[in-house]
Amino acid sequence: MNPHLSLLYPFFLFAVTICNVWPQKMGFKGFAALYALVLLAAFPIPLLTFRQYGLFCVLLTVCLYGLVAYRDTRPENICMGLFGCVFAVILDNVFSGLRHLFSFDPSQADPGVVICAAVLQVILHYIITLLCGKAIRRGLRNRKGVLQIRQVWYLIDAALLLFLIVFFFHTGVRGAASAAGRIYYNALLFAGYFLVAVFLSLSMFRAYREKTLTETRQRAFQDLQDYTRNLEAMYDGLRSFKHDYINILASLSGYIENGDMAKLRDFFEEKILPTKHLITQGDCKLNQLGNIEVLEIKSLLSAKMIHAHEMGIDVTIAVPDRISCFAMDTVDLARILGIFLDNAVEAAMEAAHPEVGLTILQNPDTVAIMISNSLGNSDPELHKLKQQGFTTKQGHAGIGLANAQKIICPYDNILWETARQEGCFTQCLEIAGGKE
Amino acid sequence: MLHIYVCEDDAAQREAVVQIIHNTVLMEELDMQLALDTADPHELLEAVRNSRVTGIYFLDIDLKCDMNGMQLARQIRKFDPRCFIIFITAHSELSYMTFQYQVEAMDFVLKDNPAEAKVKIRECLLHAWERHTLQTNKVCKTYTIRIGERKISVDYQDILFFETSGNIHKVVLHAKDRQIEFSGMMKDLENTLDDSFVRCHRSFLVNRNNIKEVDTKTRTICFVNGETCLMSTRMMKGI
Repeated sequence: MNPHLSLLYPFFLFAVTICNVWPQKMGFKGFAALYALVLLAAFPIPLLTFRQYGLFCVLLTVCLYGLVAYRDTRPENICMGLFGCVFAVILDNVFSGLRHLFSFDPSQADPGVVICAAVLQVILHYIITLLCGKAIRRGLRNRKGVLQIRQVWYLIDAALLLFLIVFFFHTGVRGAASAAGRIYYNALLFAGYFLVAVFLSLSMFRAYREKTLTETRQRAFQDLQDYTRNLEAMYDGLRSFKHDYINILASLSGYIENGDMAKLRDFFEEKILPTKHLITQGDCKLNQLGNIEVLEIKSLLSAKMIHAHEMGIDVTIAVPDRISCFAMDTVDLARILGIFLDNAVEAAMEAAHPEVGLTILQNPDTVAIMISNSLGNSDPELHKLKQQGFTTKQGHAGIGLANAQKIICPYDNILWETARQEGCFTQCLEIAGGKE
Repeated sequence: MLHIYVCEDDAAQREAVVQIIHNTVLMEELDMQLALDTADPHELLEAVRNSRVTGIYFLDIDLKCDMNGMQLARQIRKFDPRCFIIFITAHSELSYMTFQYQVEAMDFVLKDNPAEAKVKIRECLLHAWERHTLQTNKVCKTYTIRIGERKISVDYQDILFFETSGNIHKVVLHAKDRQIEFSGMMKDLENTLDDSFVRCHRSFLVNRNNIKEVDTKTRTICFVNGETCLMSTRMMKGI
């Protein structure tokens, strides 16, 4: 038989496998194109003395096909294409193993039987790959975590490609049969795998960091929206008060014109004095938070303070100066402040008159952040607070302040003071080098 | 002897405050006298500059002048570092913590409730007197931590011990009701502090005066507030 014609059958199986495990549904056209391309790439194989280069060509073709067609799932294409190649080879080996088991030799058997066997193999091959492909596609559809990130896919591709190259060419390494050659080959193999593993873990690490960062951003954005909504509500309240105010003035002038002192007094005491209450209560001075220019911190603080205010805590916020930056990582600072504020709110709830105060001051060379709260009867022993596992609350793990300590520790420019005096507990952070 | 100064731009309110002060000083028989009440902060500063006596200052925040109460307080601190500053304020816009932090104000009096203000002013005077007598009777050594331009002073008698932190450039000060983690080195501390402080362990520098008991068996030191630290056999002798 013509050596080129004998390629048709194995590469048909090859193309079928790839088609079945492909991340997207591949139509007949796509399959035809793939088959044609693979055949074209495989064409020189019988001509070459060194088959590996031909097979390598086929691999590259599959990769390129994955890159060019079905562009929206490029990295997955390459990965699954390479996987398909390996899968096809493995299945082929399994089938030839089976043939060997039944001592069936196609070159000596009856042509009819050979064709039957070939058709059976194609059908079995098709069914197995189809099932595998379906399972894989289902797995890909609800992919989670790192698999969402393209770079990870590319790295998996690189690892697979490396694996295949090593697999194909290990006999090509000079003197691979000798002991020295084997050592050389092994070293090459391990070095390659090591590199891939390092890159893989590095990229996973980066991807994870990016993900947490976007998550914090998202949360900050959410908080900021709450803050804006709160400001709007405050503004609405103010507007309705203005409206009332004009009405009150009008009725006041009415009484004055009539000279009706008694009614004027009644009106004043009944209607106007209570408005004093309106002005002082209900607003928790969120506007001062506007002086903080670090968005994530501002939104975190506003969310926590609004929450505290809603819990019925008397909230005081003082940020008299404009604060453009904090000389530490924003995510770290947000975590610390979150811990402090949560603690403050929970501790204040136990006090007879719950109060939480937040003060941020810009000094010439430091920024001071102070969070204080009123204390109930429970008298926490200061030195126990920072110990891991210590808690004043039931059902809490007591890891908050221990975590805060871990976060603050590496910063040389931060002074952290924890103090308790006269029913008031204060956390103070003094960050040096705020202005750059 | 303490001098009392009042700076408030509203004459009626100033009069009210002065009246309360007078009554309190008379009734409690305090060794104080009203030195000056004025609406003009410059006049007050001039008086402070010429005085040698420690003062108690009642200052309004909003003085309708080129200087506000906070700035005035800073100036006063320069001339009279041990003074007692109390703010009289209607707006709680600047919280108490700001006052305390920036000029170490002793307290503040809200003026929108006259009855409460009266009680508060009396408390302030008594408190100032108590602190003044304490200060003059004992010469108290303090340890000062600096960060930027800010200084935090802690009395030696309040310090229990210093502990190394996870970061080699940082030290944790344990005081009676206070813990401060700041950047510093144990070695420098040992040199600056006096000999009531003893290095009892590689990571602890303790104040001998605040030790309650020493357990040589478990090699721990227990302090007056129940806090404990370790000591090493080699460095045990110092205690």
